[in-house]
Amino acid sequence: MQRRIFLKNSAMAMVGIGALPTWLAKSAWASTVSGRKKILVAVFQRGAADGLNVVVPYGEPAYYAGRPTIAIPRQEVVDLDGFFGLHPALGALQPLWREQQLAAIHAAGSPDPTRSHFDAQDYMESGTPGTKSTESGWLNRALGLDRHAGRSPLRAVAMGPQVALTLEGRAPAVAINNLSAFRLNGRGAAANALDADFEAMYDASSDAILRPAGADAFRALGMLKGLDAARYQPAAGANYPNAPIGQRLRQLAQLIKADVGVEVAFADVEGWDHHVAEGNTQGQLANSLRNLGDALAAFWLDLGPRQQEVLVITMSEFGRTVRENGSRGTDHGHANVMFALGGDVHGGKVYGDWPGLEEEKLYQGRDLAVTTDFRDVLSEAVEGHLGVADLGGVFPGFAADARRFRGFLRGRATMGA
Amino acid sequence: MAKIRMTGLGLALAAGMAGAAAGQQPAAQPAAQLSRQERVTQALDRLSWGITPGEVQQVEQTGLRKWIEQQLHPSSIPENPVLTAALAPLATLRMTPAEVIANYPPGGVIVQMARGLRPLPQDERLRRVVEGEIEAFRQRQQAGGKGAARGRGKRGRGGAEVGEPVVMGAPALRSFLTPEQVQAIETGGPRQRVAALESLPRAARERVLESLPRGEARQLAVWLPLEQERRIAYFLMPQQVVTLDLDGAKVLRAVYTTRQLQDVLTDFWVNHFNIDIAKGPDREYLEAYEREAIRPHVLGKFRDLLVATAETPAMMYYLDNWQSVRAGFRGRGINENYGRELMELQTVGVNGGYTQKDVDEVARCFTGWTIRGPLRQATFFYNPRLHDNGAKVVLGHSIAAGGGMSDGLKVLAILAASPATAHHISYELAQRFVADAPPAGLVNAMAATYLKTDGDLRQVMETMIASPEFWSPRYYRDKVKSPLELVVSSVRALGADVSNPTRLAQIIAGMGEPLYDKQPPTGYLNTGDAWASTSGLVARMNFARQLAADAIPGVQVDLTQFQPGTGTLPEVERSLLAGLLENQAGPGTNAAIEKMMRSAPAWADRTAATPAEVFNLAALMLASPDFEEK
Repeated sequence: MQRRIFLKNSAMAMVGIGALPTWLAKSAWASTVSGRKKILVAVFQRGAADGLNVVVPYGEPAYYAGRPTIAIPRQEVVDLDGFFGLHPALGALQPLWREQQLAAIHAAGSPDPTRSHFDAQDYMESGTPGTKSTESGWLNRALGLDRHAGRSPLRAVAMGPQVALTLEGRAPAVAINNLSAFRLNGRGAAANALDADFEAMYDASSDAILRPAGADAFRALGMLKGLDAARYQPAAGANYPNAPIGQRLRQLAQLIKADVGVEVAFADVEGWDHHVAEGNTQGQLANSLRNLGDALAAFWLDLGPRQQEVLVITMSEFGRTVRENGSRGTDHGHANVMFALGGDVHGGKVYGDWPGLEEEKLYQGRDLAVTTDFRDVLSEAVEGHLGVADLGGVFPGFAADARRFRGFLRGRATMGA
Repeated sequence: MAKIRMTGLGLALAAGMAGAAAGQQPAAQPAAQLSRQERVTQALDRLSWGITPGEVQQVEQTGLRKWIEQQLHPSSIPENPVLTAALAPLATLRMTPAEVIANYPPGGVIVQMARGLRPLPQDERLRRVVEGEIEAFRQRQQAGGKGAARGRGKRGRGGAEVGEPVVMGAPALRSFLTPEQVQAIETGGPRQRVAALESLPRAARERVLESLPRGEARQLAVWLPLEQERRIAYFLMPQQVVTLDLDGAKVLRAVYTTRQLQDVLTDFWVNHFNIDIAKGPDREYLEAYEREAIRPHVLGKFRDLLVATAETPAMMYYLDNWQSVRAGFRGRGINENYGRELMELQTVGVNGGYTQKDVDEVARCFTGWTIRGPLRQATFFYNPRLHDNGAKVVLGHSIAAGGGMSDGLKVLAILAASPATAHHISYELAQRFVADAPPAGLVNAMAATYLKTDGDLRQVMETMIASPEFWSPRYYRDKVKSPLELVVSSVRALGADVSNPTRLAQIIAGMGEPLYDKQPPTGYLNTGDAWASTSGLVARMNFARQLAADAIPGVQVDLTQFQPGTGTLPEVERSLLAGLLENQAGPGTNAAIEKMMRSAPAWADRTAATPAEVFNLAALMLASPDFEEK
């Protein structure tokens, strides 16, 4: 035990100067804890996905009444439970549903009424609806008041050019846009010397923003030395779509399988703001969903035995109007659907109280009402999967209450579905 | 170089790393005032795309006040003939959307032609290109592909086999070149191959471009002058030329224009009134949008700018208003996208006091604002048949029934005159030009000017530039550059020549800022801190190294300018420090420079510095945290 601690600390000291051999780093992350760390992945559908066409309430006459041209016909949905069905473009997720690794939480969302993409995204990412001044994200805070020294520089990874608000905060977070480009590109001894000078320069900088960003970058670069991203071969049959979300999840799978200490991760998937010609079984939304579903299915297959450690939660800032608008699209709405995909998910079930789509049951007469606060879903994930006890620190100003949890994780007491 | 950030995040980060920073000397208190040279540096950093060699001294000589005055009146400044010449071959910059569509047909037009809904082009050369595309479209259809979706996105189809010539049916290179010439063009590094190509007489060069195997052509394209890359792209995928022109002009203007402030403002306002190049025909509409709706108005009245953007096919398409019609018209109805973003993002701001009801009413006011022939005439068009002529109430203002197109114009006038708009616009300008968290006093002063002058943007800028905050040491060199700013300011600092900006645009995209391609209507953030990510820093360090090594296609860097005669290492260091960092390097950068100097052989202060030493110092300074900021 003592020796193991020594190994970890010395390994960390070396990571600090970017000289740690990758094998040593790996063994350090893989062996210091009994069993590996759990990993929570947040996928954000930016632009407000039309949840009613994602997990379709095909048993609701009002759904069809409000959507003469864009509804998914009853016979086309992938039936889930006799009332809800998946959009057919999400067919790749059907096996995961059947194996009970995938669950949906419907009519989930934010209590804040805003229909601004920007504000609603901020609120969902910060985890503090209605409060704009929060400068950190819930997923960063989920790493807790843990000491960050001695932890992997890749604990928190955003797959994209920038660290999204969801992952911003006290814990160092790394943005990786393209894993194979995430390396210093000089070659030879002279280039290595220059790299060292770059590192020393950032290390000694007095800049409050660039100094820590530089430190994070060099630690991450040191950790990833020797990882050949370009040659990565996903597990057999894991066919990632060429879309950005496919590439992001592919690189994330590579990081997870490389045992570099990832604990929380974030990936964006853009393009859900379908005000015009949204389409039904085919069309814009169908194309976006196909990419997302195929990417998630490939990611899951690719993880193989590592599925047990991973939980993926999807979210989108708000839903869309129940009734289609004047141009065969939908406008900004309220509640939406979230997915949970994980080894410890009690899947194959749509969770949540269904508020109904009749006029009098709609939020402000036009939108699906929220019956599950998105923070209850995320709280259950943070507590149940990551084992974080201090939910107040993750969602300040929100009294998380396990009795409200929907119970989509195994081993939790369930409440009405 | 004292840096004190007052944002909560900065404080949190600073507190979070207090342990790691222990033992460091505390940052010096900022001086009460900027020195004369610092004031010039601040003005050039914030009001231009970056300082060029010797520019600080020039501006000191002309007088800073005069320089600012000129920048605020750009038509008084003669344009740089280098820029004029560089833009001359970019034909789409001067075309209407209809002309762009006709001359560089996008995917949707190819489909129309394939289905016989549209005649083939008259122009012989274009007709051959289009026939090739129609053929490819048909093949994809037969193969069960999803239509000709290639009109979307920035990339085109790519075309036929790599071994085929750029122009179908063009003679092989060996039929008109000597075997030695063919070998010179097809082997070796891209620089040598391009040199071999350029050594041919002009007529022969054009024949070569048409006969070059497609694979070779694609590899060489970014190394060739932009004019020639365009020529290749024209035959491979004509619509790609539009993107090359847009991205290229953006970079070239930033690097070369003498009307720097106008250009920075154009970038600001194009981003404020964001349009995404990847949405339908917006690629074909974008150049006219920037040229006619944005650039002429950036120092004019905000209301004129607002109306000009509204009356474009670009905005009507991007925010879907072209589809918004009075309820019940042929089973269709209103679309609230434009109405909402008009208020939230473009004018009063999200806290501007509007409700969902206002969004609906504004959308009704704009019904009928549409596009005549999106892929043909491609002009903005008000169609009275689609308009909801009922009475409306917008933000408490009654708009009487029967107003027709004036309903929308009234809404724009109401919004432009709103104090909330004055504040929102002032805040964003101050955020872009002064500080990520702009001081309230500055924003209020700018907003007051806005209201007093009926939204005169030049006077709002004057208020900002005249403010004590603009010249405060607190914000001096304290704003992280965006990728576009970083790349362009590096090129300007080195006095580099750009013969083809395409790779620079690709590098900017790789850093997270693909030009004209921000999908959501929010545009890119005006804050700098957002860009200080790990991924961004790695890309920036790689760029600094590549640029200093003169290894970027289309860019020519000459570091010997920093080594007058047989300059010794200390002389070169002084010259680079002055040229790249205005003699102001932070402690980390200074330490790294000293270490580099010390590690040079002892005789380095007596004999000429080696090219490798000059390169190392230049790369270090370009990659430094000091250069990351403006």
